[in-house]
Amino acid sequence: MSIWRQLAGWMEFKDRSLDEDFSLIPEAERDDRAEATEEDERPQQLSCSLEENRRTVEQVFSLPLNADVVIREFEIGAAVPFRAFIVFTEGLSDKTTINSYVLEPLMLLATLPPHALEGENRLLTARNKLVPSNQVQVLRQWQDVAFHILTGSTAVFLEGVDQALLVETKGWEHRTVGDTKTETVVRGPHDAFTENLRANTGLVRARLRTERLVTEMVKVGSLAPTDIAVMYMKGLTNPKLVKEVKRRIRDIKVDFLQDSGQLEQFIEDPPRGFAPKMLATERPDRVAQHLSEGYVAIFVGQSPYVLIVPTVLWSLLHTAEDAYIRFPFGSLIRLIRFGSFLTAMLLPSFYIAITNYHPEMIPTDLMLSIAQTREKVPFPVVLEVLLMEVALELIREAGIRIPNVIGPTIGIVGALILGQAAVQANIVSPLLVIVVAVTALASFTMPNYNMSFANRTLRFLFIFASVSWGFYGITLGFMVVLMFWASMKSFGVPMLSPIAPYRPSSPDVILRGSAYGQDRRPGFLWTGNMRRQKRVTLAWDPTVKADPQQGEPQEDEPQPKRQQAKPRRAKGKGGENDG
Amino acid sequence: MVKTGHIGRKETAALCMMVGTADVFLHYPQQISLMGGSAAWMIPLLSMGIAFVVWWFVGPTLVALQGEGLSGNRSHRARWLVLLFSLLTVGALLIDMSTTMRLFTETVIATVLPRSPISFIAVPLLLVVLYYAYVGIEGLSRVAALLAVPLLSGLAVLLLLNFNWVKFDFLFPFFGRGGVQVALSGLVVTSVFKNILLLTVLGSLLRKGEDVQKAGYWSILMIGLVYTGVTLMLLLTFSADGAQRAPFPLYQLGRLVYAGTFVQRLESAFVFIWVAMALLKLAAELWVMVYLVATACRLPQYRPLVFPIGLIVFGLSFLPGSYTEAMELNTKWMLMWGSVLFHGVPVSLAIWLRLQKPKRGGRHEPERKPA
Repeated sequence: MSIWRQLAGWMEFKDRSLDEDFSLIPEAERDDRAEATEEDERPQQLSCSLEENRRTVEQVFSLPLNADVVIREFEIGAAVPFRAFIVFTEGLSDKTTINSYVLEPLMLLATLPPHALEGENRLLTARNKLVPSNQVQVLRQWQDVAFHILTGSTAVFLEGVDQALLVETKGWEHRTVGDTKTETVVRGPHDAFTENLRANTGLVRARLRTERLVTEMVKVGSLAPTDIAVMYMKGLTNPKLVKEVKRRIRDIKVDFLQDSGQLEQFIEDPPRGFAPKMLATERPDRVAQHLSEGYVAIFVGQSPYVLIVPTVLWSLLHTAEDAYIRFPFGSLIRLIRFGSFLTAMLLPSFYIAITNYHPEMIPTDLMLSIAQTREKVPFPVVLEVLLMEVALELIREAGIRIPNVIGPTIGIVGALILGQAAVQANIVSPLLVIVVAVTALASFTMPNYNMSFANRTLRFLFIFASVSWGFYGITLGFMVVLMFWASMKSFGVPMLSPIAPYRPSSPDVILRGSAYGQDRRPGFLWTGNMRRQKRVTLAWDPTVKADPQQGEPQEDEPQPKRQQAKPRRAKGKGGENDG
Repeated sequence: MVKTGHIGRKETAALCMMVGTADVFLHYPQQISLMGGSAAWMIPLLSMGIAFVVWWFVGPTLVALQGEGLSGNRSHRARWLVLLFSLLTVGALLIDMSTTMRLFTETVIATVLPRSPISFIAVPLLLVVLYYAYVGIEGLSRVAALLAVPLLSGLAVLLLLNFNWVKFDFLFPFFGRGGVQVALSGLVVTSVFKNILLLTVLGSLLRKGEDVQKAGYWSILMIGLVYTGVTLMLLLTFSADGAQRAPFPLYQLGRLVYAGTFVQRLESAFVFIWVAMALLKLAAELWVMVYLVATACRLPQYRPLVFPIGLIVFGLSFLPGSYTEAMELNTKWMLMWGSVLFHGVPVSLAIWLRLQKPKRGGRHEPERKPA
């Protein structure tokens, strides 16, 4: 190709002669042209002719080149047999189901009366009497048929019928429900989501057994659609929230959406900063709990993480276990976790500020000890801190990528040797190793994976602020971060709700209140019913203060029927229960 | 009308309280001690009482203004009055903000970072203040609401940790420099209650009008109690003579803290409290100035004015030649005469607005006819 042609191609020079050279046409335009040409030639609707339908299937799925799609021809047994064929995708469809519940009844068990063979009656007979599948659809458009074949269904084509019977036969290999990887708890369920969308929705539905739980399916992706399920409680969840969620998902125009992490980036509110604006969880119990409070859950096909929207900053520091253990201990571990969040973010910067700018805060004995250990260290404190922090980040990343067999060994040995060797070589001081170790432990207490990234990143910003201005710089930096969080919103809900702005809610923000005190839904959700239990649910407990409105039923609950007390029988008189 | 957000009652009260109490970290307790001697702790209580009366008069007017704002559909004369009010307020806040910024910067240098040039301290402070004002009143009020309890708790801890130095003898003579002097000083020190002026501007941004009054009463109470507590502790710890010689009272209270080997010399830790409060105060005042200028000029957005006005304030803050000059300026104009503007303007506006009724037609802009 001459250099002028190349230049013309780069500059998108419009010349008819250049169009003849296919390689100079921009790639996107080229694909669109090819795709448009193929789609134009493909018929829109099925044909009555079995041969024509077969030719169309071969054309759509590039057969026989594409070995994943299988066509099986057969005859339906009848007094006058007629031909048919099925199409399914190997690897996505369950062969046992196809053999037992599609092929066998059609081939071996069909005893069709003569009138059943005429025209469309063949299809109706097959659907109503021959194919014992729990989900069957009749489709006429090739686009729909192709989509369902690619999702694991089996298409049955009958001679003389211009419709196809789509039988649900999904059955690809997938991981079974196992333990959680990132949200482990001691007390509470241990099951986690898998890559199977329907298994995931089933796990939630098994917990929330109500007809008000609605799952709406949306598809995203023009090249390869990905199923997305939007789950909410009808009549409880704010309909404006559901509408907004669906609007943002439908506005995504991409070729292929792989995971919930990608979806999160497409639909989150600006400014797209450090803190996540959606809660990504792999726990079905958390999703069920949030749905019952009025949140919306978004499931993405082939992703084991479900997104819960909207979210507030405090929820990112909660775990499911806080609710399962008794409330004093739930509050205690929450305080520890909140303290760890601040420690992980600020401890190294505090150390730098105190040693560099405010040494008077350290008791004299300790200060002398620190000075003694730091005497031989040739580097300034900030360099020590950065060295150790970078080393820790390397250990952390390596720990994820390293093979499981040698992972723990390398992690422990590496950390120990790194710390010990660095101290003995006088590169860092022993106190700094303790500071960095405590920081790392504190950061591991973050229950939300995305939030831990924010924590790690902000830690470095605070280190630079403390190097320059000491406590003054840390304060200014903290105020900037605080304002950033205060201005963030998640689907219209300010991230610092319900504290700022204040919204009435149950005692479950920083401290965890008692289970019988969680009578309100989060005020910032504006749900259809703000009360989720009676104000005092321990009416039998004399130590719990009675509520004047205790006798009033909840808005949605019907009044319980009063049972009449059985009359007591007098002693000495014979009765049914007398011995 | 300028586009802004809405704020809630608790957030408004918290923000107003921060604006009013931030100056307690400067030389104000010292000045109050100079005015009242050993009875200086009574002065903020008297001022609080006067502020309650002022607010009792001004508050209901703001409730009636709710939703309209200062730029509501009013007569031509009333709009000129509102413009005058805006200019006076902006002028007062300009002086207050620039002197406060200088004082805080100098205090940081003198107490925490002694070898730093002033611009090294002032420029980051200004940048953060500009960011706060740019984000807007919603973010400001939320941060104030979030930090109100921790900051006040920190201040209470600071005061309580000095309890081992307290001597109740320092409270005598009980009326200090005399009852009349104390009463007159109470009238002067009402200038610390800047929240009344702030609420006059912010009142229209609350969703419910009656929340304005509640926010006003609560913020006045908190400001009064904070000033009383700090002044009282200062007197009990240093005595009246010592308190009058303390240019950085709370810093020196922090230095006195000694409750064991590890709980000592915590004055640097309290930097968090007073820098956070100063930041919120400066940002709120800047936002109010910017909002009033935008309203007066009938701009749809106030954000483009944040940087220029902030820069003006920054430049003005360097006009005083030294810390003592800035302190003298602030004491003379803001502490001594600030109540004329901070209370006089809202009261005058309230009187005028009560006498006027919103007029339709006449000498103001003609109503738009429907298409």
